[in-house]
Amino acid sequence: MEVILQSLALGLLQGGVYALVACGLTLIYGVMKVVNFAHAEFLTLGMYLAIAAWQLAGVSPYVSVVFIFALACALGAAAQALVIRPALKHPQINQMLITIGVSTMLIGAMQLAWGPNNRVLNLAWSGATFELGGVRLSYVRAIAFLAAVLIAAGFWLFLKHTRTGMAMRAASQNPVAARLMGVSVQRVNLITFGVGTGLAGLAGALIAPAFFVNPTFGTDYFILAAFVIVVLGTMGNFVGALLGGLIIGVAEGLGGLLLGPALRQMVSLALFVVVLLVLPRGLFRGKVT
Amino acid sequence: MPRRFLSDWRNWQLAVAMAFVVAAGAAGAFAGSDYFLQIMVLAAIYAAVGTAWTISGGLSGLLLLGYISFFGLGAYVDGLLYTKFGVNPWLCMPIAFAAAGLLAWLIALLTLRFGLSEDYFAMFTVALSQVLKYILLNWEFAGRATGVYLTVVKDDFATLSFVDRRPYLYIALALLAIVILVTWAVQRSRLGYYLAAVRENDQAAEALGIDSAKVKTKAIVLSGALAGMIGAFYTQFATFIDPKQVFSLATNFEMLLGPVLGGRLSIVGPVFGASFLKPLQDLLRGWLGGEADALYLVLYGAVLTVGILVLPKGVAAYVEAWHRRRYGNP
Repeated sequence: MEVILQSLALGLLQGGVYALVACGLTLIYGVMKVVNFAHAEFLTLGMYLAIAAWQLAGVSPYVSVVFIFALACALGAAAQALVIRPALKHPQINQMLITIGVSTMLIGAMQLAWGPNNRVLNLAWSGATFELGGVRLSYVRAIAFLAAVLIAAGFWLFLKHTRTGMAMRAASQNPVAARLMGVSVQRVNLITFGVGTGLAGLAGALIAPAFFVNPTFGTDYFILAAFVIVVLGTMGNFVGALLGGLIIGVAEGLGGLLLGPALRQMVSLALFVVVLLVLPRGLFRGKVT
Repeated sequence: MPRRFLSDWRNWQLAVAMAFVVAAGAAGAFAGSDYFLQIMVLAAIYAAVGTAWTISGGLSGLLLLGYISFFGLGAYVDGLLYTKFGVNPWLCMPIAFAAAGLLAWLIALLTLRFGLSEDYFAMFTVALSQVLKYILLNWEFAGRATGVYLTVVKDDFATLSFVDRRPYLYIALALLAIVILVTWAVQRSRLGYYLAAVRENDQAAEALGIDSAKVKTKAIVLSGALAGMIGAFYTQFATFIDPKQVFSLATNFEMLLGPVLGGRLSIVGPVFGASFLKPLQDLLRGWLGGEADALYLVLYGAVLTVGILVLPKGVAAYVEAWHRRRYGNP
């Protein structure tokens, strides 16, 4: 029983981070209908930048996270303006391969900068844990989870109540109508891509103290789970991505317990097949908001 | 060859592609080093896979992004049947063809049922290739991460094993020729016209009585089966396979680069695209250093991104325009 609770809690914590990564991916898809295969690389980059800030300047990841978010936003926006926007009218397969090209470049650049081997951010209390209702949790993961949930919730409020947020939702529901209402779709695209990748970078900074990182970390551990989450939560649906993140996190936690750690990743992939069979249009049956 | 035959763009492509295959074979006969032959065989394999992909990824317009599943499955069918059960490799190729075709049929069954949106289909096929990788990584019988090794001691045509690299080149080119012929035949067949209709306007095609799911299923099954057959040959050639290699997403996208930059709807596009790009990749990789291939990744990613932006329809679109002018077709 205790083991089950423990796996459940760990899965939930992981799920919060998944949710943060996936909501950026789903936003980008919702607004631009582009599947961003380079998304997880921004997470990896966030981790590396957090490590660099800590090792070079002694800045805690919980401080540098703000700058990392801003930098990832800027990088994402630049990528959107340079290579995604010109391809928006091209066939979808081209767009996907372009994001794969961006992903490859980023992996190569990170390997050039930090080498192919594992790196780690060792805070004094990286391994510290606390007990909550008979479950042992690490501070780092708990903070990452809380921050992820808070930021995602804050972002949801932003989408609901600000003009830019509403423009983003309008553009994802119907780009033509949004343009007719005076929304600059081009500007919304830029902001969405920037913020979406920014959230991935932010998630990376938050989890940096808890994982080893190497250039393909994001591709190896996050991108497929993020895909499953956005499909489960209906592609383009923000709340769906948040719910989906938590569900997949918990499912992986329990699946890992049941099947052993080697098959942990099989769980989300197997869920993908099941989701397609049972809920081919996701939890929200194709509705974006 | 009569001008009338060549005035058809598809026939012209068939003639040019076949002439290229023959020329490559002739060049291979004079190639001095094993390294060079190795690159040529790999280029032929990539060209064959890329051309086979166009049947589904190009002609049917399906976003078959995770194509390596079929290649990897074929590779493992051969590896396991040959090393564990002693099945003749020549027989393994048609078995791999059938197995990969079956997998493609299952994928079609699962995804085309609800007219699944193209993006879901693309992501599903990518995820599936990784499912297969993880299954094989955890499967004791298939050697887990170590994979499957073949030992080659002497030249033996019957078991498709040679110490010399040259025979592999001829067989790879023969496979490429088969794939080219099949693709050409599909393009000229009733199925080819159905595929064009479904690709250009799914709903209009349905209204004319074309069962679009059925037509797409045929395309993906044929396309997947061909990749499986080439995968089986790859195992014999490489003599060693593991899950991270034959289900690698990086390799997957490298294989699609030829057809996408060459022209997804053409035959000459993938053939020449892969024949040019694969050796370029190998030479770049060798030149920039093996283990620390970071610079290679940056360059390759840049070429991929810029190439697709500059040539959204592939080089073949320009050749086709020239062909139209040359032979005066409307």
